[in-house]
Amino acid sequence: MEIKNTFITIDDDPVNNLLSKIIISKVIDGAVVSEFNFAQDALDFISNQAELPAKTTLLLDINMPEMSGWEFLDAFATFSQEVKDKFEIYMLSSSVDDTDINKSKAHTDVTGYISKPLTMGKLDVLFNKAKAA
Amino acid sequence: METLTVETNDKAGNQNLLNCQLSLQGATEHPMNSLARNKNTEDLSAMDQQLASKVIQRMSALQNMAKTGCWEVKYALNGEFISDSVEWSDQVFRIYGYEPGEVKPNIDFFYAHVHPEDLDQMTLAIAEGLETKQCFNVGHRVVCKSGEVKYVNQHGEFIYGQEGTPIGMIGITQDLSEKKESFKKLQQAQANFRNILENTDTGYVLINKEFNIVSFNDQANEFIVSASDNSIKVGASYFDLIPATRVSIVKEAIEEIMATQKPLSYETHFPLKDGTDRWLKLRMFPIINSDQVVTGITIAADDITEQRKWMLEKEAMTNSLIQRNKALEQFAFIVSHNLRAPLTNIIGLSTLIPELDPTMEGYDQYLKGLKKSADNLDSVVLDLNSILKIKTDQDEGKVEMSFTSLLEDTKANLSNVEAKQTEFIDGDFAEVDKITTIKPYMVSIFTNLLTNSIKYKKPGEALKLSIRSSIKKGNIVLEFKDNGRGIDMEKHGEHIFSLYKRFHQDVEGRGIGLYMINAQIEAMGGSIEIDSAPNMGTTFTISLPQ
Repeated sequence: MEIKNTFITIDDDPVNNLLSKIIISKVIDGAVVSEFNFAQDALDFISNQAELPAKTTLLLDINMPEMSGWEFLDAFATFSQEVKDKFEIYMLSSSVDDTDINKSKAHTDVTGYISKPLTMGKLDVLFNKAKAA
Repeated sequence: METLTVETNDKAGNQNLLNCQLSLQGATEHPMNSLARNKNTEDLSAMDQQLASKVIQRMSALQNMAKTGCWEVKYALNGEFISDSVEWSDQVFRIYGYEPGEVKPNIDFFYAHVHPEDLDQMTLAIAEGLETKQCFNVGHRVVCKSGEVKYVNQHGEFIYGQEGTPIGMIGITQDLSEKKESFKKLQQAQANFRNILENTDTGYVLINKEFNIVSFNDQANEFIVSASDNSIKVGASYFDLIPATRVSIVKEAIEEIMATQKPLSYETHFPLKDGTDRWLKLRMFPIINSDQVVTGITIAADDITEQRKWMLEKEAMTNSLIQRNKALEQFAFIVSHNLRAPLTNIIGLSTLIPELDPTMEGYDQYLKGLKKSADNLDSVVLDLNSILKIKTDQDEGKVEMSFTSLLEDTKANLSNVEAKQTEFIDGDFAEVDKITTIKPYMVSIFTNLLTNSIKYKKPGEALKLSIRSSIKKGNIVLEFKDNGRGIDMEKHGEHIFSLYKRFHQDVEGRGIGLYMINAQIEAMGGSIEIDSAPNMGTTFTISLPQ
């Protein structure tokens, strides 16, 4: 549990980031949540950290201006495997488009797809599954 | 000298006539001589008969092959034919539809088989032959035994006795039915062919190797006449018919066909006298003779003007359908994101309410988030409404507007903050100031582009926006040119006019303005183009039909 309490949320909608933050802190005790409205800022944050936490759960919106979720993943792919291994990325999107969902499932760096809104129940399922695995 | 008719029988037992000229010796001949001569004559006669028999056989075969028979009739001193003296060769019988020897022909029998309408010319020809003492030649119809009508040609000539009086008439009968039939067929085929040629929408011109016109149809001539004062003439050069600028290209094409013996086709267009353009599809086929040599070219021209028009319309329709489809996809996208995103926020936040303590830190922020999401949802619904309104506005009809007053009105309606920038905006509508169009669209275009230039002006630099109107290619062209921050076209080019696409995050905006004006301009039948680069300003060029 301890190693999973670091979170990054990336969404251009601050209200969604707020909602995610509240839900994460409700489900996971002592969770540390860093929220970003711009994907580029999150990339900078990751590359500028001297030491990364052992595991960070990253909730990524797909449709964002300037840098979309997919473009973030393209940039993220250039990180070393060592860095990538420290992240578990979930797409968090309001999209009901099958292509978005299938693309998420097929992406090597993406662990799963969460349909908005994020709820305590959905987060619970994810983490119980993760624990079971 | 005496002319005699000798009857002989050939091997088949058929009677044949031979005309012989014999010289009779005086009656004073010595009996011995005469005897000896008779002996010789008998010997010779056997040989002659053998020879004659062969000749007769060959003659008969020839007559058969040539469909020609011979006949003879004696002529009496009273100036009439001796009816019963008519002799026909086998082939004559066959021509008349009888078995050889089936009947005994006579003069009446002969005339009975001449087609009634041809009797006069028959008697006339014979009379003329008698008078001129020359061979006569008459074509007429024969009604055969079976009633079948045949075409024959009679060559005849009178023969004369020693005193120069006519003693008979000989001649040949040629069956022309087959020739006549094939000639008729040829004529019919030509008539049929001409009929097809003249009753088609395809223009045809036949040319020879020297590029000279051999034949053409009316439609081909119509194509030429409708475009020039020229007309097609047999013998003239094909190149006289086409514009001088195209001669070398067409010549090359024709030479290629002659060299490769392969057809060629292309589309071309030329202006008609009435100023419209006519499109033709030209197909050129080599005419190859039995020696595999190209003897000429057939040029077939089809008017494809309507077809082209229809194709262009179809293309425009397809494009419009693609646009519609894109709009639908965009609508699905809006539902997926812009409607669903605030809605999921509201669902998520409201689900949490029972879990939250109103006294907790950030509860106030939480409620504000809920309100903001609800507001967002509302504005998307309003946006969708105004997008749908583009269609209804279109039905309101067109009014005449002045760009000068439109600019003044737009400036007057700007917010207080924006209004401070109006002094840096100038309009030059000297070339064209009036436009008759849909008013709400024009207001929307001016408002959106003015506020965009103000919102995205370069920080720390004075705004400069110039609006200019002109007429280009019959369209009214409006140019909005500013010195603002510009847009990275390489990155955003394809999304410039998309809904809810934004290119500068630090300035408030919904990403609907350019989408709206693009849709409105399209609805007016116009187009909008953008030229921009980061920090290099932006120029919008709008072209509207007059």
